[in-house]
Amino acid sequence: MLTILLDGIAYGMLLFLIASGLAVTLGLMNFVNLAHGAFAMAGGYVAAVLSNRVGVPFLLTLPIAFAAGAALGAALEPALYRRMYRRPHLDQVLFTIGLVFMAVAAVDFAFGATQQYVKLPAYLSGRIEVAGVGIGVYRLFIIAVCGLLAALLQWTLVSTRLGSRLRAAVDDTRVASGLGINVNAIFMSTFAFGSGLAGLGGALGAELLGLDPTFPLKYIIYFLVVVAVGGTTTITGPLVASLLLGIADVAGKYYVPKLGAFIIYSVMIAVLVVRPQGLFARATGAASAAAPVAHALPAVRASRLRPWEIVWPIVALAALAMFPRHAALMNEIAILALFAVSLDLILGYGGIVSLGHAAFFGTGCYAAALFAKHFMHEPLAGLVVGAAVAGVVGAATSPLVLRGTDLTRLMVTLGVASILYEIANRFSEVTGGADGLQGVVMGPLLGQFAFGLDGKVAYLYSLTMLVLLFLLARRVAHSPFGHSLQAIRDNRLRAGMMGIDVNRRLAVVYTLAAAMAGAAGALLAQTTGFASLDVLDFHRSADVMLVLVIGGTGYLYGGLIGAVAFVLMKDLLSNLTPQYWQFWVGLVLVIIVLVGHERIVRPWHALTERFTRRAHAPAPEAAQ
Amino acid sequence: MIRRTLMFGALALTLAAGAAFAQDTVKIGLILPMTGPFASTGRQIDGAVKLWLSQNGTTVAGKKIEVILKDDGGTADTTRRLAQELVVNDKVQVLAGFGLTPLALATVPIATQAKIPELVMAAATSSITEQSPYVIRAGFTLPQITVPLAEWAAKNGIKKVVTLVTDYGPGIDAENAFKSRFTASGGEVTAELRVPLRNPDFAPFLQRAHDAKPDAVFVFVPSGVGSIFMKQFIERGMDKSGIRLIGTGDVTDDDILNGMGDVALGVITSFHYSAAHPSAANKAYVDAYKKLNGTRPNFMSVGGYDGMRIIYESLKKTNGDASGDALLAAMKGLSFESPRGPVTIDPATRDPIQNVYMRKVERVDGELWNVEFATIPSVKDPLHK
Repeated sequence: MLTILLDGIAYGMLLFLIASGLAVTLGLMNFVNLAHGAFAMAGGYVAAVLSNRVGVPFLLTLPIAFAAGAALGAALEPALYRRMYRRPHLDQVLFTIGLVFMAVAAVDFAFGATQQYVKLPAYLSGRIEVAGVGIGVYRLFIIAVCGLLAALLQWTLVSTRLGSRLRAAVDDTRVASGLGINVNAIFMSTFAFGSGLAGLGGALGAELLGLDPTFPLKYIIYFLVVVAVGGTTTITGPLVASLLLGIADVAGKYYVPKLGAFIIYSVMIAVLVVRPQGLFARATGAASAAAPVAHALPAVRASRLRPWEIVWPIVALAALAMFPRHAALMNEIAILALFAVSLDLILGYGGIVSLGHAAFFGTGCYAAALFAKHFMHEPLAGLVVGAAVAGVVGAATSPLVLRGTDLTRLMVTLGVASILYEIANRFSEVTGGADGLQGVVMGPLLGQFAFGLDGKVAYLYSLTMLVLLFLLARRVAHSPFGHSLQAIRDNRLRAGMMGIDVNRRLAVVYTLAAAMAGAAGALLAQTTGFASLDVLDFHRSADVMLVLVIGGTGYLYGGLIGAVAFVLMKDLLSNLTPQYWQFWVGLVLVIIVLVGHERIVRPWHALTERFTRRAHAPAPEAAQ
Repeated sequence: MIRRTLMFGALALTLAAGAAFAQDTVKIGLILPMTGPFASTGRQIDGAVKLWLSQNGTTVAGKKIEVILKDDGGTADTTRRLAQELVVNDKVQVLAGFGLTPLALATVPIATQAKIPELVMAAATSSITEQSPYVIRAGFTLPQITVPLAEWAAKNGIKKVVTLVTDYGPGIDAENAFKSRFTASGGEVTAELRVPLRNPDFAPFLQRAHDAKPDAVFVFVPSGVGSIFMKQFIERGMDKSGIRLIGTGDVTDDDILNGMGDVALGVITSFHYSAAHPSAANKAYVDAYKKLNGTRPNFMSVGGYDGMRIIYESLKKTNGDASGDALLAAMKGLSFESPRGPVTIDPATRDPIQNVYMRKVERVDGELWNVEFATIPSVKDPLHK
């Protein structure tokens, strides 16, 4: 079927065009720019406004969309992005997600939440017949434009002076600038060019992908998939990956429509299992061991409970007495905190980044809900079942996260969660599908305390479980096992050399974290009496990641602090402005990163550090 | 352990203390997706509620009406938590809104436990009202508008149909409703295609529909996606191969119809509301809505507008008695002239009985409208017994 093949190529080309900018920033500049889709959205909106309201011809809107994306990139790079290059990846994630939130809300404010259109001229719509094969004219146009740009991009990078300067600047910034290369200007123009391509892609793609304020969130997954599968060291990689995914997706949906939603994730996981660095990666062993994923804190901490550590459960109890009206909100915080603590075990201690931790949260949620519906109403038994089932899924998928780079792990975990989401949607007889699982009746806790409308029993139940499981996590983290995990996190090769069975330990902690996340999911199912697909959704994985990064990784309390801060901030802002609260949440995230969350979460650390530094070196500023 | 027991004991005491209701104010908790992929639903309903309040004032039957708007972002457990807080803290007497089926379903236990009406303004899966006697619907159900379309298709020379629906609750409802009525009327459904909810490109599904060479493609997709679908339908030249496009009115949503351009011309849909409905009430509604909110109202807005009407009318009937069971009893059987036409709330199923219209997209005065050409009067939800 030639038609299907061409459809797939056009779709793939479009993905490539938008993702290529991401490949450049991620691969060459080693910067995780999750806000990349926002540049595409900007280009799309510029094209839509110009063609619909001003009446600019479509072909002319394309270069303007490119220019708009590029201008935006050129403005933001020196103003914001440049400070982020040397920051840990997780800070970059938090920062760029904040920018996405702001962009989404801002576009919503300016243009409304509905779909926008770019009107196509007559000569680009319709269809032509070539040797009995019908081909959409617009799709041909996309293939032609993107093909040209891909060739141009490859040529620029490989054969021009600009390209070699860029590669030099990336490989060794210091030497490059020593040789007289203006590194800042090169980075800025590269970034602007990538953003411009995204803007062009947004304008070209509005017809196929649609255009509304949620565009950057909706498609970031696809762009990341392309980059992860293609590998980040060449342009050919993402190009081949886009084509492969485009064709596989379109052809797969055509020939086996029942499996439609699984295809893109299955292909991605298959590729990443065989080639963890992506299809076209230079064999580099050392590169992946470069920057630590997060702020590594001093590893050795007292394993005995210090007095202040028993304060927080008391505060949490006192909060109920003081704000009994907000028990339901506090319940949500407790569950999210448990979820975040479980992520900290693998991220902060094991060094495994995950964008799919909701897989286990959701599994636990559904397991507990189904258990209550079909077997037993007793919550505690359901909690154990939820945790156990999630733990089994964690153990089964743990081999997938052992290899590759941070990006590989991000994408594999995301793929696993997405596949579970689609499975839950597919087996709607069991799970209730998109309508959610109904008829979950929870028995009273310990046979005595029924979950009431005021949410107090729910909160006390969740809080108790949070405290118990937190103590368990703390015990694990401070055990020799926990220390060996930190050794693995900091330097896997060295840990292996010391005789630590790296893979096995990571698998164990991954399973444990999965079970804890499952317990959190079970708590949600039990305290709300409902389970729906969004417990497995991407936004839940992303939220918990945000929570943990806000609070700080690698000391377990980050999950608690982050959950309290995140939920309270969201609730407060969304009460003030139900429509545009995302903007303010985004702004807060950006500020947190710019100021440095060490200074916000633990100001005393920053203060004492500054103080001691002052004391030892009288004028550090002058010395630099 | 002892401390915990004490806590639980203290808790049981506070639970026992009942909630006193404010006497002069009736509070309505309005929970809508105001952000996220379904934000446009929330905006339409919010706009309509504001319009109702500006037209009818905030006092009815001696009671002051207070609407508390909350954003759930389209996430079910948030909806439920907000509903819980609205009931416990704000002591709302009606829970309203609900942009999607799971959001409405997650709230059912709260409304049932609190014994207050859950007024569903948008979510359209048939089974929601069956979950509890406290659920009542102001909008529509998908089978309600799909079945008349199936009958119309069978009568108008369409023999073979491919169905193409989004793979989630309402989509499957629509697929089943269409298929059963269409085959019963002598037609044949040659392929049933389900498109994933998160689906960027319709190409493979459209190609499959194309290859099946049906007389028509029946489509249900959520409203924002409908336009992308339709453009690709035309791009594939399916209209030129003599395949007709029929669907529920979500595809030609009034909110965005104008932006779609000429590709939408001639598409035939069935729905309970068109902004072009030729009645004085509707004309006044559309004008006022546009003036207040700047956009054309769509079917979601009418659900919100009539939802407010149902609350006001029932309060008048009870003389201001806002206790849940009294309100609910007053809501059942309400009959009124809505911008969409005559509506009656079926006392047995608590779903609206309303006209369903066959419409065709036409250009009138330079703008695209869903122009009604046939009316099927007083349609009940066919899935309820």
